[in-house]
Amino acid sequence: MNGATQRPQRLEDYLEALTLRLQLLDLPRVRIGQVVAEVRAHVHDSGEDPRTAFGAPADYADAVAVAEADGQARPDPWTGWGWMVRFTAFVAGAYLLRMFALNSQSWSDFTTLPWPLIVYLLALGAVGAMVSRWLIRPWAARQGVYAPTLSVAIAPRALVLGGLATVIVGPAVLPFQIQTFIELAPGAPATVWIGVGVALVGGAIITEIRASRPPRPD
Amino acid sequence: MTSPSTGRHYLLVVAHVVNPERHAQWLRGVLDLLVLSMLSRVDSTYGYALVRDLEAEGVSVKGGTLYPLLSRLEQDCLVSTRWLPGEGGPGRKWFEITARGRHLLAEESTGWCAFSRTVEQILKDQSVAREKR
Repeated sequence: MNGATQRPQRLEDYLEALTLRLQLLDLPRVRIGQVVAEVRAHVHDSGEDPRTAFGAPADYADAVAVAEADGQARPDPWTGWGWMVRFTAFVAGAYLLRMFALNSQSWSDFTTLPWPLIVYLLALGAVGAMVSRWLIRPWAARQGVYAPTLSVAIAPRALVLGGLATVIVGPAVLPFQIQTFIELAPGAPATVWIGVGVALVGGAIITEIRASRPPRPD
Repeated sequence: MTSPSTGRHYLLVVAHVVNPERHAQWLRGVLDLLVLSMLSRVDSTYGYALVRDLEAEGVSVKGGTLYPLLSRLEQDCLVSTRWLPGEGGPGRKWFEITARGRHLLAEESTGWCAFSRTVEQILKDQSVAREKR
């Protein structure tokens, strides 16, 4: 066998050993395919022997697995109860703003679009983003896609759908709820409730942004 | 950022290499910034082109070190990636620095420069003191 035929064979042998080791390390099939494609492209471009460029297949597979594990070990802002607390605070705050800052506005009057209503719609968008993020997590993990990016892309659509739902369902349901809450609410001035609403919404947004931001590399 | 098992792939090509292991340690702490800096100069690039660009600057990095590092940068959203078909070869993964990556690069570069100045000053002082003796 001459050198020209040995090189592709060496690469295929290398990739086979690398794939086997990555499978043993339980890497997702899509990720294994990506790693193999990276090695193939790099060797094609550089003309290097794969062992010279990447080290022994087992060592390189271990290095890839360590890098993957580092990413998975980072806290996911969408797991646990934190996001539910933030979400609840957001909706409660938006609800208070809607109630006390915009009590005279009709839910069906969308011609003026007051800002508390916009906040309420943003809350609906956040709901859509959170639910969609939760739903697409397994798919995103398989595809190697950073799912929050997708959920942010989905949020405007969820906002539109939430807005339509509000137009259709809101007038029938919300007036009763608002009236009930106002009757039950302690006798604090409206400005206090508006302040609470702003604090809840602002706090939820700030903590959400902080939690969604990936941590710095070690 | 890089596991010790891959550290041996580092080799800094400079005129005064004395101890490759020490250079490997230095590079390990700053390679992510070097890669981000290379990425900040172009719209997007792929792995082997990065290796070449780093080599042109005097830093030699093997693929076995670079790709896991790029994977970490991607997971940290410091770079974004996309797969494109290669010209007359296999498909390539292209890397692009993100706004977050640029921010981190600017911030950490300042810190590194301050640190290297401090080290340089201490080593210079030591050298002057030795000459006086």
